[in-house]
Amino acid sequence: MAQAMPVDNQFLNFPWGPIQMECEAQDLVIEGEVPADLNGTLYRAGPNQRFRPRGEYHLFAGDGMVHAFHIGNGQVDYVNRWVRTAKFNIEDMEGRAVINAMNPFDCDPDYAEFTLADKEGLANTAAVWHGGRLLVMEEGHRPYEIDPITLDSIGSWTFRGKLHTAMTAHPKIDEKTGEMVFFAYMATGPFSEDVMVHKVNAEGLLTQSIHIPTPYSAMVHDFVITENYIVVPIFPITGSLERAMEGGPPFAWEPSKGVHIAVLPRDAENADNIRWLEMDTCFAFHFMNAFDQDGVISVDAAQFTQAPLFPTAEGEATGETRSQLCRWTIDMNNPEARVESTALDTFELEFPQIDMRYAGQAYRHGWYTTTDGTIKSSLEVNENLYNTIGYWDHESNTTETYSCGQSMVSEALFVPRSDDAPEGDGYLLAVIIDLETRLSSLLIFNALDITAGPVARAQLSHRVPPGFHGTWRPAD
Amino acid sequence: MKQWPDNAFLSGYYEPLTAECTAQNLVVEGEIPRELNGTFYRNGPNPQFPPENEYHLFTGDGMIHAFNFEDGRVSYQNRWAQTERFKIERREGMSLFSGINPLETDPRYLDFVLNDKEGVANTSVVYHGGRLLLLEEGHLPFEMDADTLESQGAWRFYGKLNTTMSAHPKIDPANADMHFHAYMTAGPFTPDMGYYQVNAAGHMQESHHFQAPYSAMVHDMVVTENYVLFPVMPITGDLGRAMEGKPPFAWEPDKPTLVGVMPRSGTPDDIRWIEGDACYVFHFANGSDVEGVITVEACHFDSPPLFPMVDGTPTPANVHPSLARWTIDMNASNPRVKMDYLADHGAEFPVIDPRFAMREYQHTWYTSSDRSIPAQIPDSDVVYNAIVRFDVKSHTADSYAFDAGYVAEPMFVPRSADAPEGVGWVLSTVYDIPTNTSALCIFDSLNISAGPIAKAWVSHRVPVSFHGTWRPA
Repeated sequence: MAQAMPVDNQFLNFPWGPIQMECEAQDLVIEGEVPADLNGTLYRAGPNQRFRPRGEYHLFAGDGMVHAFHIGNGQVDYVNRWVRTAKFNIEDMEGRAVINAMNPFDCDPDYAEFTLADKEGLANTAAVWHGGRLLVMEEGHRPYEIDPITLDSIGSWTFRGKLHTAMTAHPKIDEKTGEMVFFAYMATGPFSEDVMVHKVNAEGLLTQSIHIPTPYSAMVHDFVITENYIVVPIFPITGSLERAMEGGPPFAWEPSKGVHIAVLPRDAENADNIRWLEMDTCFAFHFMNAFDQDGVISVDAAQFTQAPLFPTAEGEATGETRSQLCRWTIDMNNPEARVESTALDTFELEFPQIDMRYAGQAYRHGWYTTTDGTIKSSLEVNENLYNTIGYWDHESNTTETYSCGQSMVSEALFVPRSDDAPEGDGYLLAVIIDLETRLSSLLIFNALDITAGPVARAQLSHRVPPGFHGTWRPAD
Repeated sequence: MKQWPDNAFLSGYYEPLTAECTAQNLVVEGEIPRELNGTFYRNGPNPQFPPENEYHLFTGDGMIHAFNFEDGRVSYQNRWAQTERFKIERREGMSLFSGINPLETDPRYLDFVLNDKEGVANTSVVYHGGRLLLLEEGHLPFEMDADTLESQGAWRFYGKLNTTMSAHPKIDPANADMHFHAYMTAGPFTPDMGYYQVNAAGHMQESHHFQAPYSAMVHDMVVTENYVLFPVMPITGDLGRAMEGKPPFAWEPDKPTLVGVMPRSGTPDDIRWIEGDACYVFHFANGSDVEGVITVEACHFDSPPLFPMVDGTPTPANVHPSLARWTIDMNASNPRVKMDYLADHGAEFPVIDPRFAMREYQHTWYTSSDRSIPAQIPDSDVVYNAIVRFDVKSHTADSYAFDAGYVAEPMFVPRSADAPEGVGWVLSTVYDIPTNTSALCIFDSLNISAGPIAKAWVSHRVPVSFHGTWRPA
């Protein structure tokens, strides 16, 4: 029998904790009206730990589950499935957790070699629809392909044998060419000191891989592209095999190592012309967007003063930290340039989103997840739970927010009204957990009028745990 | 689809689940006994679409929840019964058949409803003759695959059943023969009834037709070693009343209870109708007879919930039946049904050790309430939060109440085929109100007051359901 989850880990208990079932729900109950021109599927990926974990559980170590909302003709159908990674299948057979995905030295002895050799990982962080395939990413391993309708697992995907590294959870797609650019950290093995940048064309063929040695082994969650540059930030969440073998944290916050920002021309064939720029200590999981003009690169980051969720090298908690919207300026015309960061405002934000058709280009509209401070969190890293959706207007430098009250809210994803709609003209989709009923709903907003509240709410009769990232696949 | 209407039977602990789920190897608190191998099925109403007219709890689409036990692992799945009604509504994308009054059906589908044989398959479930049958008493049984819960359609016992089948068949432990009855067999609101026997292999051996003294909702019946009892109590059905816009089913306490007593060696021609006070019993625990004296334990209401008076006004508030013993002395020249309460606490959804059905027995388990949790519908609803074992010989009770849990009908599973009466486990799905999720709770059947020895959690709600069954591995 499966053992109960430990009650002392917040991420394994309500509202974060896993659900146990896979299900289908047709024609969900709708409050309001689902826009007739919203046709496609919203996918949400997140950790949903299958069994009581080995050792200390980290939020990033849960088995991936994908939730799909198929939206069409004003109707919403739902399905969820775990991703059948190698780890999932082994543990399903064993009926218990035998693998610690975050610490290779904490596996069941029978599976001692598993974590270091595993290529499939957890598939728990994000999803992308590109080249006719739905890929689920986890950043430490290869992408994993699942069926876009049924969510049945297909297998890990190596772009026809060409991908020899992991794949970030945050690939960027250039709207003009359909090209997908992504990177992998620890590109040549666990805790290696390098990244690899890959390009995949609109048809899904991997066309180029560029190897970039880094100053130290780091966990790198997100990056940005602009029309002319690829920017890969190396923040000091360091990875160390030696430290792990000595019983210390495999990943730790080491600010003394400094922040190093790699800037590579988009058309580079190799890393010969890469430039490394320094900046003051900071951390970002996520970027809103970036663009360049006359050799000056602007990068908008959800910037923390230090990394949340990771201990120091000595294993001590780093304490509370909040992110705010900051603009980085990188003047490529200046050979001595550093990266300068300026806060655009003081509000807390995470999961920044844009109209993806403007990725890498000058843009106006951004959306994010935040808090109105009315739901206190018992998490060490956050004082409040995210219950609010925000909109940021780069033209007026103003925000608008919508509070979901006593409900936790996910990343909000923008979907354009049509292929040729102006920037920002479309819908914003987010999934909430009502903390009172413990049930989830999909909320649909007019993206440029979020203060009016959702135009439609599709109700589930179960909870969708707070996941990380989503993606949208337009209907055929 | 549109929102659920504001109806207490569609919210809170009754709120339908809209997902069909599969969950392997559930998280368990405590220990699942390794000897417990088989499948526990629960059936209850779970409407697919928000009703268009007045919803009655008895008319929601049937949904089966199955918990499979294998070597200490518990897996779960739930599926709707894909009846003809269900499929038509799914095709139309809306509710068409939600009312208890067939005359309120969308006129385009009136002929369908009056001729429908499958109903909503939402009340109980029995595993017999190698088939899993969902029962709803107003229609034919509906077969589902016992492993996958895939719907198979109506089952007529190889074409021999042309009426309906009650939700409470009785299986004789001596030979595994299944006895059941049907009411309103000649059409809606007729006083015609049927009595049937199906052998262990699933073949119908006997089929009889007879007339009840009046048209009534006859939910349960009793079989003892030597008698079959057809208890006709005054929740009456009346087509003429329905056509006048009054309740099709109503409580008419000026009519007496009449129990049809038939010797098992006889036919319905031998039925004697024995009179008792007007009362209502949805469920009987068991019955036995000794030297012509029949005793029956019943969850007895002085007046029933859920049905109105003839003029549509509510029945007197009495939502809680208690265990009563009915005694009928067939040796008497003019026997009458004697009714005596055995305890004053609430008792509903009684079950027994099925190996002692129809015979003298000692233990019954049922749901009860300490009334500590407010009901959603104060006058016709009660939150059952307790499981009780009652010893019908010593009249003592052994019970466990949940602080914030709504319990379902218990199910007794013997520890082994030759274990003494009552030695085994009691299973009940418990809806945990604060977390809006459910757990399958397992009790030591003779030590209920110790509380569950294991809880297998699902991460969603199993709404309030009616009846279940156990299929041994």
